[in-house]
Amino acid sequence: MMWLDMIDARGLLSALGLMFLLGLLGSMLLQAANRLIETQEEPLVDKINDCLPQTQCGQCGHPGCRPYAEAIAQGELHNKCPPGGDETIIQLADLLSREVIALDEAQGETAETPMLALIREDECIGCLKCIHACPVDAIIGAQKKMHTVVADLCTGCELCIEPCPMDCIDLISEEVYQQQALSAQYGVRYDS
Amino acid sequence: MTANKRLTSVIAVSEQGLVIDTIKQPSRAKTIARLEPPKRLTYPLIDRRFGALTPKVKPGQCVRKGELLAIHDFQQGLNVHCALPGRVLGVERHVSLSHLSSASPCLVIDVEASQETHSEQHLSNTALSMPALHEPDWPMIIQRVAETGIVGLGGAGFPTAQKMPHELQYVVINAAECEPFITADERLIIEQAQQIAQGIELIETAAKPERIIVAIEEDKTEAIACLQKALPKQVEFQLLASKYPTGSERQLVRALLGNVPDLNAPLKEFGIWVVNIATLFAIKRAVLDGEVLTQRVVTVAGAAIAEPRNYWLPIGMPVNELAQQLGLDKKSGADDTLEWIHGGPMMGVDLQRQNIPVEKVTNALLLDPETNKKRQAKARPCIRCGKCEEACPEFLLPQQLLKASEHDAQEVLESLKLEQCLECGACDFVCPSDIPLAQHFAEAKVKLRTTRQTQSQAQAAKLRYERRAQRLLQREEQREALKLERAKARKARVQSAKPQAKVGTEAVKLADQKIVKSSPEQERFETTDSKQLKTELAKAQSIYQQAEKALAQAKKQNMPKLEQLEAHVAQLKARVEAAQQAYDQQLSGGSS
Repeated sequence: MMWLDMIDARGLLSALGLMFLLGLLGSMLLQAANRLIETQEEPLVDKINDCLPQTQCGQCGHPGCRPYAEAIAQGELHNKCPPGGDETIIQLADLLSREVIALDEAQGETAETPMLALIREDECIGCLKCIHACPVDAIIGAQKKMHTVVADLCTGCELCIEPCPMDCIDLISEEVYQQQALSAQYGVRYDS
Repeated sequence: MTANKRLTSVIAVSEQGLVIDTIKQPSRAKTIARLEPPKRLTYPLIDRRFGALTPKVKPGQCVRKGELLAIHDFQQGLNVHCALPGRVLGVERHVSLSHLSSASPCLVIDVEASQETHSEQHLSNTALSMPALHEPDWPMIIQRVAETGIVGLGGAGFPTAQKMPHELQYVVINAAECEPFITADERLIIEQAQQIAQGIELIETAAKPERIIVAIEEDKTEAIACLQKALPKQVEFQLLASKYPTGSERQLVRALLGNVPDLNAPLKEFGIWVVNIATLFAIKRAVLDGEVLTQRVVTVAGAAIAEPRNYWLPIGMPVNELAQQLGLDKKSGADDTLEWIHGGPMMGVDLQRQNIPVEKVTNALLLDPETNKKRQAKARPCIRCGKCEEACPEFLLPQQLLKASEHDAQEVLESLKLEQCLECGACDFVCPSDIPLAQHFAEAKVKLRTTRQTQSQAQAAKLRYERRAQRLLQREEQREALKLERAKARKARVQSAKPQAKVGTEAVKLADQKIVKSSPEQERFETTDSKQLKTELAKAQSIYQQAEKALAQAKKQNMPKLEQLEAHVAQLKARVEAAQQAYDQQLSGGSS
């Protein structure tokens, strides 16, 4: 039993103890560092939400962009946003390290130009229904008073069109809107 | 400080930049000429920065020279005035400098239809409605500049009144005019040095700035001599090395004043006002002579112009009429409009054979096949020679910017400081591959701006959506709370209405009251109506039961006056019995 004699029991114990203490110290340091330099990273849902176009149109089947962002974070496919189109899909694929896939045509198609809603104001009866439907507070008006869409705020989500009992809301492209605004302003000898 | 001492130092605005052949000699030597008035005047009703202008005249109306034609609804200093007497034809769609690809509304004036004669337009006979100001203070000057529609005549076209600081510290008078061919400002200085000096004095007495610096390129010797003679001594004079580009506003400020203001903040906030010398002349005319801005000096030059020269042109004159008067249209052959370039060969706009009117910003109209050829040359691939980097006055990296703009990498573009690009075209000029770099950068800048705008709009939409959701939630909560409150109130009301067997002394009191109410004189039931009797019986019974309950309670708690209570209860019992009896009697009586 030569080898047993060769082991210095005290030395072994002290070595083990030292290693244990070192490990403890290290773990404590790490803990402290973690608490001190804690990074406040933006939650994933917010990041996804920032990629979405914020039209709040609900074409994806969710009642707004944020709910869809939450659904994507839960694993839903990221190709259900027609207003965002391919650009949004690429951004989301980048963010989530998923594959770039084609837009799900079932949700609708990407509009070629940005659209916005316009109320034919002389037909409006002031029923407030479109105001309640607008997800971004872009329609102003009061009961039994004419309503109007604030063009700068409209996202073209189409949600106001369906509830209108008078069918007096049109969806037009921004270009047409500007043309109309111009001819309204100048009137004279101006045809588009 | 002597005049000669002022001229000793020559500074370069940027260490980089180009030394190019300026080709100014031919037009520099000739006096500014006048032409016949045009048949039509066209005024675009769209400002390239601020959008639509609102016309103030009606079709068919006769307008005088200097009459107000259009204003901007919200922005100061964009007023358009009529350059010649005539009649308003109406609003028509024409191309203009800011909208070359598609027609936009323009106000058209028919000059021939005017009843008045206009044999000779002279500088001084223009003051129609504005009185000349005498010893005006600074706000009055700013007001007048806004009213007369003076914009930056150097080419930017920004409303001058909006650029004028209320507390003026430094004035930089920009006479650099660094683009080749153009001598409009130079010629104006030579001919009108006296009036320019008056303008400077006007500003000095009204605003009392710390420093007034006139910056001019060193090769304009005649203009420098004229200014030196006319200008007051306290005005600083700074010669600039003739290196393209020297006329850029921020670069001038950086070179002259040393401090580099934040790129995004307007110079106005630092009390700095950079003003083109032609604009200064227009201000002098507006303030001291009451003249509105209706004409300007335009250099007509280029290799295809036989006699390059400066002209006083009415603003609104179509370039085709200019070509006619100069006898250029006969040479042009098949195409009826010549290939004009608006502005200088470096930064100017190719008019694509469109007939646009002279605008306030038109400092030159060039017919130069050489420039056109260079502009239209097919771009070849970049060979990475690095010449563009040496030329860029802002020390940007055009090569990398180009690559990033081709890939639409907006973050990279931002980090490469695309926003600082002056679009001066120095990189284009040196590029051996004829790549239209400045054009790429201009487009990338627009794209970057649109992306930012959509982003900010999306952010705003997001915020509104979130606030709305919050509001709806809050309303729902309020509604729930109100519902709950109402339900509670209702319950409380019902409970308070229900007579309860109350405990303790209150119960005794209650029983007492009941007993007193049912006083003995009512004990006889004399009505013969069975129904009434029945109700009386039921009443008596309920009172008795309540009283009994109260008694039980009182007993349990050992209340005082128990005997009295007991007596009452007995009385009530008797009463019930009496009622019962009467009712029974009535029933039997009724049946018998």
